Order: sequence, then C-alpha cells, then structure tokens
Amino acid sequence: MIIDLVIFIVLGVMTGGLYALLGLSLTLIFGVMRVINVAHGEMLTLGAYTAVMLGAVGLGGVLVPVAAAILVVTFVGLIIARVLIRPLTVEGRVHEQRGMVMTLGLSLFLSNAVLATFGPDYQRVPGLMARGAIEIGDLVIEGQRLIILMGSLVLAAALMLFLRFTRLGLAIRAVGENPEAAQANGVSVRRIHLITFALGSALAGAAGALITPVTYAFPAMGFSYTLYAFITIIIGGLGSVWGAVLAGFLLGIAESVSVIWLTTGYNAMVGPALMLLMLVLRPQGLLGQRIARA
Amino acid sequence: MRADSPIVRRAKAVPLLVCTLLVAMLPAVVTNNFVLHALTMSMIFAILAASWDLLFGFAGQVSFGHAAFFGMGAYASALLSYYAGLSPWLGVFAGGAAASLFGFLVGFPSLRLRGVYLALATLACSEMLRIVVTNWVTVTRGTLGFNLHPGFPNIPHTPTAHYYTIFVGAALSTSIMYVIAARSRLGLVLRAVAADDIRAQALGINVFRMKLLAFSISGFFAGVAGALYAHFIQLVTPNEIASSLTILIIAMATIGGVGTIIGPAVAAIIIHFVTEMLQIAGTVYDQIAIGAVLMLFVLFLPQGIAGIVRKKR
Repeated sequence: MIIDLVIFIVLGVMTGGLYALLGLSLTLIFGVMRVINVAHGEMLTLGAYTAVMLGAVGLGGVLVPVAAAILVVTFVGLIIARVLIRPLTVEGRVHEQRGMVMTLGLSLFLSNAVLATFGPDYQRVPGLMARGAIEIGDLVIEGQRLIILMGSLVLAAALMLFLRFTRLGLAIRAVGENPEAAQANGVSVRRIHLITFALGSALAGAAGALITPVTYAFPAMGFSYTLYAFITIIIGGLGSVWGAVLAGFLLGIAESVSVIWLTTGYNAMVGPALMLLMLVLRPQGLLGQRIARA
Repeated sequence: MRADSPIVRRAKAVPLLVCTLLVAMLPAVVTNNFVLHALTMSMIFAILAASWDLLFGFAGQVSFGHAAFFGMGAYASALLSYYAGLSPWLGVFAGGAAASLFGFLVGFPSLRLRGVYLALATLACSEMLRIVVTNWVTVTRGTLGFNLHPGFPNIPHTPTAHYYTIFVGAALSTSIMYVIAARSRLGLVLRAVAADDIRAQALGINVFRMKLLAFSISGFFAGVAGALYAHFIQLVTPNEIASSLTILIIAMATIGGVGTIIGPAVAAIIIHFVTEMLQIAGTVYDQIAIGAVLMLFVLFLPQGIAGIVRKKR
C-alpha cells in the first residue's frame, strides 16, 4: 500500500512538472495583461506540430524541436498580441470580456486550422529512438517522461531567473504590479505586453514539443491543456508564480494518487473538482493574494 | 436602452414577424431533406444562443458550461423516455427542468464569483458532467452514445414534420426569453444586477436569488433545446457536452449582438445554416471561418449584428 502510494506520487510528479510549466506560462500572461487566454493550449498544439514537422525531415532529439517550437510560437505569439490583443487594451489592461471572447475565437480558429492542414490523425514524431526506462521494483519511468519533467523544470527555472534577475524581467513584474506607475517610470507597457504574451506562449509551445513523443499530436489536443493550465493557476492563485509551480505538482500527484480509489475514467474528475472546490472555498488560491472579485 | 412608444415598438416587431412567417413557410419551397435538416438544427442553435445571451447579456453572468445544460436536457429526456416510458413531448419539459436544476446548482458559485472566475467554475461543472456521462456506461452507453429512446410520437416521421416541431419549439422559447429579458420587470431587475450588483442589493433586490433565477431560466431553455435535439436526432453522445459546443454558442451570441436575444438567435440560424451549406460544397473551413468572423467582430463590431441594425435606425 505504502509502496503503491510512493509509486503513484512519483508518477504524479512526472505529469506535475508539465502542469507547473503550463500554469506558470498562463499565469505570467494573466498576471501582467489581465487577459484570460483561452487559446493557451493551442500554443502548445503549434509547438507539438512544429516538432512533428521537424521529425518528418529527420530532426529529432530534444533540443532542436524545443528550440524550434519556441521560435515559431514566439513569432505567432507576437502577431497575436499585436494584432488581436492590443486593440482591446485600455490603460494597460486588456478588456476582460472582449479578451476572453477573442481568445475563444482564436482557439476555434487555430485548432481547426491545424485540423484542415494536418488532418484529424494522431501524428507521431517519426524516427524517435526508444529512450529506455528506469525500473525500480514496480516503478517504471520511461526516459521520455523524465525528459519532459527535466525540460519543464529547466524552462520554469529559466523563466523564474529571468523575471527575478534581469532588467526586462523587472519591467515585466512592474507592469504586472501597476501599469500606470511602470509607464510613468519609462517602461513601455505596450512593448512589455507584446513580450509577455510571446514569452508565455513560447513556453507553452516548448511544452508541446516536449510532450509530443509521448502523447502524439492531434488537432484538438490544446483544449484539455488549456483546462489543466487553468486548473493549475486557480489552485495556485491567479497571477501567483510560485503558486502555479506548487499547484502543478499537487495536481499531478492528486490525479495520479486518485487512481487508487477511483475507477479509471472517473479520475479525470479530480482536476475540475479541485478547481471548483478551490473557486468556491478559496477563490484567491493557495498562494494568491488578490481578492477574487475581479 | 431608450424607451419607445407602444406604436413604435409594435412597428419594430413587424419585420421580425414577417421574417418568422417566411421561415415558417420554408418547407413549401425547400424540398431537399438535407437542407431541411440543416434548417431544423439551426433552430436548435437559435434557442441555445438566445439562452446564453439571457444569462450573459442581461444578467451579466458568464457561462462556459452551456453545452452541459444542453447535454443535461438531452440525456434527461432520452433516458427518461427509455427507462421510465415518459412521452418525448413531456420529455421536452422534463429535459428543461433537469437542465434548469443543473443550472441552479451551477449558479451557486455566482454568490462569490464573477467574470473569469465564474466562467471557470461553470466550465468545471460542465467537464465533470461530461466525464460522468462518458463513464457511466451501464446507463448512458458512454462514448457509444445513447440511441434507444423513441422519436416524437403522433407526428409523421418526415423532415417537414420535424422541422415544424422544432421550429415551433424554437419560436416559442425565443419569444418567451425575449419577453422575460427585454419586456418584463424581471428582465429589468436582471439588468440592474448586471450593471451594478452592489447598488442593486442596496435597492432591495435579492441579487443572489436573481442570479440563481437567471441560471435556472437559461438552463431550462438550453435543456429544452437539448431534449428537442435528443428526439430529433435520436442519438445523444458525450460530444454534446464538449466545450467546443459552448465556444460555438458564445461565438453565435457575440456575432449576433449580446443583450438582444433576437440578435443571437438570428445569428445562430444564419451561421449554422451557412456552415452546413458550405459543407455540401465540401469545405472543411467552416469552423475556421466562424473563429475568424468572431475575432473580427470582437475587434471591430463588439455590439454584433444587432449593433449595426441599431445604428442604422
């Protein structure tokens, strides 16, 4: 029993890293721009298909697809932020409802554009070498899952360091805290919005390239990741960076451990149920400070 | 909203009445079953878009779980008519009642939550319903879909009869919603809650009760749409509760113009019908087009089609 629990916790940490990265990137965008990006999962889809296309021309591995996904999605993110989000921005904040409906439309557009381009089939990354697995007793960890965890952690850490120790990171945090004061101190709020949206999107794209070897890529994959990114940041607290990391791992572990008590299929309820509970009981999340009556 | 004199108000209703009559006479002209089928489905979407608008455009409550109201109505009616032998005609009301109850429960978080937070809470409820329906295979047949329930009895099983059944359901539902939202005291109260709920509370309105009421009414009509769908198509699957349907409903309502009921209903009919006809032409770009049109409307015409019509007057 104890052994089972340990095994499921370890497996939960494996997916938790991904949730943490997704939550972190979404909460960055929300914290700075106050926009609820329903199309966040589609950025992951674009990253995943970037990896698929690279795989088709024989470029596999980890670093090349992730770097390419970051480049492609940064570019897409910049266009979206400039063309679609900026017109909805007034005094450093994106109009809440219009921003939400806009990204809904974007999500519909992108997922179906991917469907029309690549077809409905699951696409795998061709020519991927089996990466082996680590076995400790009953615990089996596939190499690729370990890579997803490590990759997520490295990207999350890089983002944290960037926000904490660079001038640009400081400017991003300043705009998140108070756009008027930041603007008054010579920070271009518009430019920071562009950079933040592109940065958050790029991280989701990188996550897409990381997970494709395990989950494969398919056009509708984005929405469930959008949902899990939202679950993560609601549990952690909207806008809270450390909350997203903590909640990501908690969510991964809770989902994994629930398999002991819940039959397969029903364990998918854990995420939405936790989000609902958190919203009703503690809308500000575990580490959030803002009062949730936005 | 400016007040019109009763005569002006009646005059404004004339074009709408003419359009409704024209739509009612369509089966006399349209003989192609596929086209008639598409028109019938458009009517179901009209109810859905209007019910979303009642909740958002009037009461100011964002629902990301409207597909769940629809699915709840569809499954409730289908399951009741199969397991309990309920007549599908009564099932329409039973489906509405079940979805209304579900809407009531989903509305509870609105006590504490607004905007984005409420949207996510309704989304969570919707996803949970979808997961239950998918996995409760012994009752719902899971992903296979439920197809054991009967169609509408006592009417000929022709596309024309189905069209009229659902057309009447849609016309009645939409009119009732319009009267409730735009012409009744309740609608006025809901708009007061949406505009400033603290002030509304201070004026003696029980804000929380009004929000719950709005969720229940909106849920009822979305559930009626679901029940009509269930007995028309005679197959209900967990896909009906997927969030892609909610996104479609929100798109139709936004393009039609929120806060008008009629705008979303008309837009839903046009959008669904046009995309279905495009599918005959073999295009797969219909959903891409809806997404693109939605984005253009949010950018340039946030008031929707109804906003253009209003400006011209």
